[in-house]
Amino acid sequence: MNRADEDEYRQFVAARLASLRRTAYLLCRDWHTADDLVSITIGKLYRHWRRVKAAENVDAYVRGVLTHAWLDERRRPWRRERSTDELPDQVDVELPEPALIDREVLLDLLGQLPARRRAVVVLRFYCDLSVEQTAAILGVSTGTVKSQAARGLEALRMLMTSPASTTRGELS
Amino acid sequence: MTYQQVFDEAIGDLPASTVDVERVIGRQRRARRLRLGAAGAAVVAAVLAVALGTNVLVAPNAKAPVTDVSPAPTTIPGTPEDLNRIDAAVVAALVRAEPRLVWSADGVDSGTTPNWQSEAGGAVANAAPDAGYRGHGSIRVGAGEVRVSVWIERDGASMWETLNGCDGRSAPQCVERTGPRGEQITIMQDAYEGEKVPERLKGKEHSSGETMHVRAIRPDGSFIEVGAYTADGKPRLPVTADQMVAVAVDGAITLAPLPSASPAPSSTVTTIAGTDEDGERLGNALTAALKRQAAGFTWVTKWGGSVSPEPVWMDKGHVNVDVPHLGYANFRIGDRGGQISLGLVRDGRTAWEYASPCPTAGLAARNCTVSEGPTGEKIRARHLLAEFGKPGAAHRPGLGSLRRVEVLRPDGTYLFLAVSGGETVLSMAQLTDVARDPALAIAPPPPPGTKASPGSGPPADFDMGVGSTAAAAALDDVMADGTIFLRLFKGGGGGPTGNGLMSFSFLVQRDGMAGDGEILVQRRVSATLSCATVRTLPAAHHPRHQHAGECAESTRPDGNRVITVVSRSSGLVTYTAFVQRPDRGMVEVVLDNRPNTGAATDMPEGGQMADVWPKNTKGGAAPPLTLEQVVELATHPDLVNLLP
Repeated sequence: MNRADEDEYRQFVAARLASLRRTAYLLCRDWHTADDLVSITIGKLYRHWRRVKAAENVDAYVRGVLTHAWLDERRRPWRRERSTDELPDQVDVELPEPALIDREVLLDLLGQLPARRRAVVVLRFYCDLSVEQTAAILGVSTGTVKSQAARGLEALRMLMTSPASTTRGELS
Repeated sequence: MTYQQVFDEAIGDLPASTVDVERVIGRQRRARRLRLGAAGAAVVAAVLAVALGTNVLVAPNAKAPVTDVSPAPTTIPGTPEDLNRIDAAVVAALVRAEPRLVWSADGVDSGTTPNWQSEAGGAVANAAPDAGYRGHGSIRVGAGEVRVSVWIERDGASMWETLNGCDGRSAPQCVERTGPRGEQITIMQDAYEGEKVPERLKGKEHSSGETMHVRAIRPDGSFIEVGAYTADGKPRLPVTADQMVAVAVDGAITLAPLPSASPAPSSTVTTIAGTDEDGERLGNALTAALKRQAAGFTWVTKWGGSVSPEPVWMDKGHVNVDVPHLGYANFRIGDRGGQISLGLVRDGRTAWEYASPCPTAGLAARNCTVSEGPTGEKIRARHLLAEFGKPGAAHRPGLGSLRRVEVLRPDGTYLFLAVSGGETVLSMAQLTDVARDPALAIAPPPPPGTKASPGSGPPADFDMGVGSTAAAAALDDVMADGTIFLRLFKGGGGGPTGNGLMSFSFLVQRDGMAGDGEILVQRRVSATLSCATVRTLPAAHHPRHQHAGECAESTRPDGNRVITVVSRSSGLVTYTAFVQRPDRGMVEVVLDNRPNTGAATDMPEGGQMADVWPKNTKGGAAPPLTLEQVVELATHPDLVNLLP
């Protein structure tokens, strides 16, 4: 990559970094992993920069790379870890402010969606990609995207009203 | 309100980013150089593109100083002793080449104390530690600051093929010459002035500077590159090419010879390591071993997928010659499921010795055993702790679902098995039996001259939670009450032996006090730590705090050096404890009092912490652990020995 391309790449990454981190966080719900995913993504972008900037919709392309990085990452067994020993400690943590509870609930509910459905929700409703773009990124039909998006939103609404919404784990 | 706004509001403020764009670029540049010769030239061209008229500083065929031929080193390649030997040779060669040099970092001089960092391993990610050497340091010559690097690659032909030559597309000032012992040498120099620095890189990059790379292929087939870069924005390097050539051809800066090959493990394996057939053989052997342990065992295509007669490896695995790794595959036993991963290391003694020992404290210690098998194999079986600090999770350590069994066989091969799914899927005894199965043997390497797939080495997450478990054990031991969060921050990706650094972020709260902390463990740092030298530790791992304050140093009866630094500034109180083993392995623990005075003081950077513990949770007047407790944590055997 020549210096001009590299500068262009740096500017692109600088402009999109916050948005990529937000998208990654919605997918994985962990800022450490989110930053790892973004690092992987921008590494791939650097490698294929000429091809990337020639893409019709660069942002959609980049979000596709990010989504696949996450889907790859979450297949690893050590990402599935759940604590099995209950060693609760009663500590005097101050209760968070109400807005924080709402925020936690929404993000937590999103986290309970199955991976691909979560990806559809994030790509369609957060990244504002079209049905066709989302389908292309995930390698599924547009019909699947439509149904997954509808079910995802429905599940979010149901979970919002369900007392069991604090249960951890993915919904099937 | 749009969906996007709803989600943005839910996410809230972004925590400080840990994405290091410059590091990503550097890594990609290096990977590209290795992947493609043409692309390697392109990287050089990127440097070329910015060059403005530079005077040739190197006279063609100028005679380089010759160092007497040194006797062949007797150190074992890749060991700390070997690194010390090469470090000393590099330091001596640099001082010989430029007697005026002063060791320095970020403008702080450390005088004659070398500030030189190095690590074993070649350029390829996760390479074996005997494959090469990489070192770097900062010097000042007169008023000029220079970063110097030395890179040696044992198998140098491919590097040389990729990087050598002044082909017209290279740097504008490129000279080829022959060294005193027949070394082929290229010297590339590139200077730039008045370059536009992108806004966000201001303060990090300079608009002017000069770089120099001296590359040589030696008669023994090794490759060496000596690099020099201006670090202060001055347009010219204060060192000459002749000086750098003198370092590159210094006979003492050389890799130690490889020890004679160990006797080949006795094996009836007929497949050749690194082939698809060999991967299939290992998969079949693993299937048979698991079925012997559990009659209902079956592979499944994916998590919750359908039955498969053979393992379906996610991540494809990396079936290379010396460190084959079979990715991971999903299985089911009755209605319980799990995932399993298998890896082997041909020359595994170093891998065994470099692996973190069993923790000594608490839950982690009770769930890790070392034993000897009936045929003399050493077995280490661990049930790892879950990461803790996730929203809704227990705020104290608990067992996770991941277990890991390592076996060092009498023939020197090393096997590791990682299984998720908990004790109810397969017991530790069953897993140990599988790991001991002689059919899970490494195959003979291909005959010399055979083109075999090199694979890509062990997985990036080779460590798989072992380091976090040890750090959690230490933290839990020192702070037995209150709330703890701890996450691996960096590290774990060095393969079986190459991991030289791990760092963790942690938060603690007790008795109304709170603090943000950081644990940094390095297998080896070049300098002997003292109040004078801690200030010159490279800033890369400590971007958010200084090592300045009230300092005290001592040496303990066990030979470990302890340096403590207490700093107080605008309500922020930070305790730092450094512990350095006699072999120069180091632990650093930092803890503040979380005064929440602004981003610069809110360690660590990881947003997960901020998520589970809002930033507006203030600490007290002092950190939640005393300085003595911080020292106790830094000297805890589970941290001190984490990277043996």
